[in-house]
Order: sequence, then structure tokens, then C-alpha cells
Amino acid sequence: MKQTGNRTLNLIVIFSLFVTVLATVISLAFFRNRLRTLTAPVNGPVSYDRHYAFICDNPQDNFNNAVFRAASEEFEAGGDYLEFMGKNLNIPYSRYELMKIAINARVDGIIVESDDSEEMTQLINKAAEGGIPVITMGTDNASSHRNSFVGFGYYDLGQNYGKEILKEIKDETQTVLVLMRQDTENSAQNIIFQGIRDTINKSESSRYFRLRTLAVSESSTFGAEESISDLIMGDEPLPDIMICLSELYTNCVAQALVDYNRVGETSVYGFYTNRTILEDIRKNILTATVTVDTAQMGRYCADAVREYKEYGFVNEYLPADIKVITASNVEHYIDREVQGVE
Amino acid sequence: MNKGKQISVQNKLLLSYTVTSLLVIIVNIVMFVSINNITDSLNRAYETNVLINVLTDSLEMVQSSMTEYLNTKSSDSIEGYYDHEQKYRDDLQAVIDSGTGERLYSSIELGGSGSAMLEDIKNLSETYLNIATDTVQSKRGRVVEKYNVSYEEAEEIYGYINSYIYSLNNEQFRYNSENYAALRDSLRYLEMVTIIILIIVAVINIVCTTVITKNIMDPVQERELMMESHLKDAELKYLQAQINPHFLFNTLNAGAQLAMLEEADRTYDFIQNMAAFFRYKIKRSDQETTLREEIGLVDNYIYILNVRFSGEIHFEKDIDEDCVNVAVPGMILQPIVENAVNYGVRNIDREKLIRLSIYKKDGCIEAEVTDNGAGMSQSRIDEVMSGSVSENPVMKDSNGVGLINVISRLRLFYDIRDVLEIISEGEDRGTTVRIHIPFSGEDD
Repeated sequence: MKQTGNRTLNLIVIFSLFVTVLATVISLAFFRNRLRTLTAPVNGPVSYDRHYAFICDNPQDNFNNAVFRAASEEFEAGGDYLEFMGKNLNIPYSRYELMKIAINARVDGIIVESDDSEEMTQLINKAAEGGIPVITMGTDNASSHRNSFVGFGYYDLGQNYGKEILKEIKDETQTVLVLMRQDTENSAQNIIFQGIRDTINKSESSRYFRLRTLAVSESSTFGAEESISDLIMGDEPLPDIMICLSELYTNCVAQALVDYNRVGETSVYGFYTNRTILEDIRKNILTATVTVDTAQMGRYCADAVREYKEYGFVNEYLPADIKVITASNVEHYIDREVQGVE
Repeated sequence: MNKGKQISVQNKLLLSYTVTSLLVIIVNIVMFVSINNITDSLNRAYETNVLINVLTDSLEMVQSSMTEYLNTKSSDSIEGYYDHEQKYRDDLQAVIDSGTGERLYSSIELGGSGSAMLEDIKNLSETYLNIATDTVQSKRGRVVEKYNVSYEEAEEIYGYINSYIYSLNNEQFRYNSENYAALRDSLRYLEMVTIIILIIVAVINIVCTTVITKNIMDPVQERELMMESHLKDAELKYLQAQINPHFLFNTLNAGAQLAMLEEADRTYDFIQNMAAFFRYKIKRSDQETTLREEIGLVDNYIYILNVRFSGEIHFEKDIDEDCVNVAVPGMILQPIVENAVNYGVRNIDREKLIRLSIYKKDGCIEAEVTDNGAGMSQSRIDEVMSGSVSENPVMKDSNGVGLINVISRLRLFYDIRDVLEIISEGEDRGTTVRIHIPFSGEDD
């Protein structure tokens, strides 16, 4: 009987000590693990073989950010690092200045949202002289020594708009207003417009459409929004069809239509996708949006730089796919957006 | 055995306290090491902050001394320029060395963007210093157009570097803030863990102590202690009675001799029996004896009583001789017989009969005292068995050991609750007291 008591006591002591030791070890292990995850900065230290620069006009632009994300992932997978130039700086440098910084910092390659200006041409050429490969993205600078252009066919884009507009045919003549940037350095929108015009003119129903353009004034910082509000707010009847050639215009037009209660008075064709644009299509505020596969563009940019580094040459032009999103297929894109897929 | 157990209890207490204390110590050590690690990493990060600030200062000195030279072309300023240039290179190297010192600055406590920025600063600085040196050289060589152009270029890059350093410092600050928040959270968590473990350890200690101390007073030990106390109780009662036996015993011996001299044989026998009775009582009251001796005592007792009461008690014995050598506690049969005489047969008018039987049954030896006397009611039996009857320790005509004392001693000795039973069919129908003596089959 005494032995049984002793055995029970031993069991209790051993068991409780075991439980305590176990609890201690588990909680300390959990603590150390927690400490590790907490002290690691959000974008933890990285080691990389090569250091590339990504330069764009507007670092806040969703389109540019989407391209950057895809390219960055592609570089990261290969052990390289892509720096979004100007994003962490306290001064909002222009892309020309950022080009100078990248050249002087002797990066291994530059991906730049270019334009047709002479200054950009010179900077690209200077980089090329310094042995830094330059890939233009979105907007080309064909006269420079850039190694490759990753973009989309602007003419194609215009044709896509044109085809969509032709579906709106009615018995009467309709006005089509294309909102364009008041920006002479950017030939891209002219090519898009050309695509729209040619598609409509070549069709049999061209007489039912009258094309107009409107240069949106961006003279002040929030000028675009003001100009578009003025247009929608005015007493004149709205054009039957509106085409917005930027993400910003698309958002502004949709918001203004809702604000001034003029939804349904005009068919709006937007550019690019974001959550708001997709929701607006679902609510029939926007008729459709034409967008480019940004993930594909990002991958093409990374591939182009790498290919040039490795083989010394690369395709001059890498076009990304163009997609049209309407109310009929918008749910699919919203689902992907929710799941975090570009 | 007793000593061995004490050591093991001591060891157990020691073990439980040692292990729990060790746990507390380990928890504390881990806590301190963790805090030290966090503080170290914060310190390192701040060190980089300090180095970056120094870098800003020395870059400014380079720029200002260059500007001064371009303005004055003094030999002091050119010396100052070269000194500051060298200092800037050293400071830059110090910042880079706070990382790996190689092209990759991954071990610097910075995010990916921070590492890339530091590389940009390093390369921009090299370009800047080259252009600045070019500018100074051109000024010396009086190539006016060239130094004007390269001065502008140097100033532009100087602006970029400053902006980068400023932004890097910001990044660093953001990272440090994150770390600080993490440190605070971790400390809070650690605090909770420590408190919980301390509570668990305290509870375990309490449980261990309770269990161990309870174990010291286990039932066996408790029984031994009670047995001892009952014996002491019996001893006390006998001490009260002992004055008489000693005196009587000596006196009786003298009486026996006198009877022998006078050839009074019956008187001699009587006195001898009395002497034997009291001798036994003195000798056997507190130790083990055999059933045989107990029976002998009963014989003495009955003989004495029959002389007193002119042989009116009929005593019968039915003894299995195989059973009489078994060891029993002393003074168990005589008190029962005395009880049978005093409460059973004394006041009846019919023939007074007492019967003592010893026999084996179901592996036990049964010692049975039966009388044909007054009998007992069931409630009275229950009272006696539960010990709730108060007994006068030294009753008139009693030798002082009551039935309840016998029952308690038997129970303690054999550790069996039902070691004794009292059977009576009711008033005036006699009583049987039966003792069940556990019997292993071998006599002592």
C-alpha cells in the first residue's frame, strides 16, 4: 500500500514537471519564433546579384505599379533586385532626373517609361554609352539607343476601342469624344486615336459616328479632375460615347457621372483596370474598359534586360496582350482581383 | 526502511524544487538573452543611423571646400578639399563596412530598398568625387568652361546624394520604429509567459508538498500510532489496578504456603489459581501471547469465580488443539468471559452456562464464548460494536478491561473491521461473542 502511494506520488511529480517543461519549451520556442517574425522588417533584407532600376512618370500609378510588381517578382526569382527609383525618396524627382541618378549610380540596367522628348533620347543614349542596357516600357523612344521596347500596340489598342464602339450603332449619328492628354511629347495617344478613327472609317457604318477629341488640361496638380468635372457638370448634352485614354480619366469620369446624376446619358469606355473600374462596369456606370496584361509586360521587361545581359541582343519590340472587359466578363476579373491575382 | 523513506521524501522535495527553480532560471536566462539580442540589433541599426549622419556632414564639407576653392583658389581650401574628400571616402567605407563591405549590403539591418539605396549612394558618391576632383583640376588648369560645367554636374549629383542619404535615414528610422514596436510586443508576451510559468511552478510546488506530506502520514503508519495509543490507554488502566495485583500476588503466595502447611488442599488450589491469574495479568497485559495461555487464564478465572459462587457457573470447553498455539494479543478472552459472567449469567435463576469453543472455519480460527444469560438487544450490540458505549474503566467486580477495549485492540492488531462479532437472539436468550482470528496455517 505504501509502495502504491509512492508510485502515485512519483507519477504526479514526474508528470507535472514534464508538463511544465513541455509548456516552457513550447512557449519559449513560440516566443523566439514570434520575435524573429516581428523584428524582420516588412521588406526584409535581401541579397542580390544585380541591381536594376525601374523609372516611371508617376510612381503612384496603378498601371506602373502592376508592371513593377510583376517585373520585380521575375527579377527576385532570378536573384536580382529591381529598385523602384524615386519611390522612397523625399523629393519627387522627374523621370529625367531619376535617369541621371540611375546612370550615375551605375545600375546594371534600366526599365523606363519613356517619352519622345529629346532629353530622354539623350539620357538613354548616355546610359547606353555607359554600358547600361535600357528597356523602354509602355511608351517608346524609337530614336534612342534603347535595347528593347516592351509595350502594347497603340494602334491595336485603338482598333479595340473602335470595334467596341461599332457595336453601339444606332439609326442616328452619334458623337464619340476621346479624352486625350494635353501633352505634345506623347505620340502614343495619337496612335491610339488613329487606330480608333481608322477602324470606324473603314467600316460601313462610319457615317453614324462623329469623332471628336478633347485635350484635358493638366496644368495644375489636380487639373484633370477639375476639367472632367466641368465637362460633365455643364448644361450641354453629353456626347453619346466617351473614350478615356488613361486610368485617371476613367475614374474621374465615372465619379463625375455618379456625382452629377448623369449615369446612362453616355457610354463610357475606360482604360486599364482597378477595383473601382471593375465595380463601375458591373454597375453599368462604365460600358467597358480596354486594358493591357501588365503582369505579362512586367515579365517581358525583366526577360528583355536579362536576355540582353546574357546574349548581347534582344527583340526590339515585345508587345503585351490587350483585353477588353465588359459587363459580360467583368465578374471573372473581379474574382481574380479578390484573390489577389493580377 | 524508515530512514530510507525519509531520504526519498527529501529527495523528492529537493528534486521538485530544483527542477522548478531551474525552469524559472532558464526562462529568465532566455528572456535576458532575447532582450539583449533585440537591443543589440537596435543598437546596430542606430549605429548605421549615426554613420549616415556623419556621412552627410562630411559630404557637405567636400562640397563647401570645393566651392571655396573655386571661389578663392586658396591653397588652404585645396588642402581642405583633399582632406574632406579623404574623410568622406573613409566615412562612406565605414557605412558600407557596417554591412558586409562587399557589393551586397544584405547584412546591414535594412530592407531590400535600403540595401539598394546604400549601393546607389556609394556609386553616386564615387561619380560625384570623380567629377569634383575633375572640377578642381580644371580650376587649377584654368579651363574655365570645363570647370563651370563639371561644377554644375557635381552640384546636381550632390543634391541627389543628399536626398538619398536623407531618405535612407528615413527608411532606417521606419525600420527602427518597427523594431521598437516588435520589442515592446515581445516583452509583453515574455512577461505573460514568465508569469504563467511562475504560477505553474508555484502550483506544482504546492501540489508536491501536499502529496508528499500526506504520504508521510499514510494509513499504515496512522494505524500503528493508534494501536500504540490504545495500548497506552490499557496500560494506564492496569496501572490503576496494578497496586492490587502486586500486593495480592505476594499475599496470595503467603496464603498458599499457609494452606499447604495446614493441609487445606482446596484452599491451596484456590489461592494458587488466584496467584496464577494475577501473575498473568501483570505479565501479559501489553504483549502478544498464545491462545493456549489465554485459555489458561480463563480457566483460572472460572475456578476463582466458582469458589466465590459455590460452583454455580457451568463452564464448558471445546478446544481444537491444533489452534491453540496461534499468536494473539494479550487479554482478549478473559475480558469476554468476564463480560459473559457479569452481564450475562449473573442475574439469572436457571442454570448458569458458559461455553468456550475454539475451532477452525474458512481459514480462520474462531474463538467463541457463549452464555445462556440475559442476552442483548440488537441496538445494544450496535452500540458496543461502534464503541459508543461509555464504560466505567474500573467497574465493581471487574478487572478493568472492557469489551470495547478488546474490540479496538483486535481491530488494530489484525486490521480487520469485523474481527469480532456479537450475536444474541434477544433478551434472556443468551449471547455469543465470536473472534475471527486470521490464520495462515502455520503456528508460531
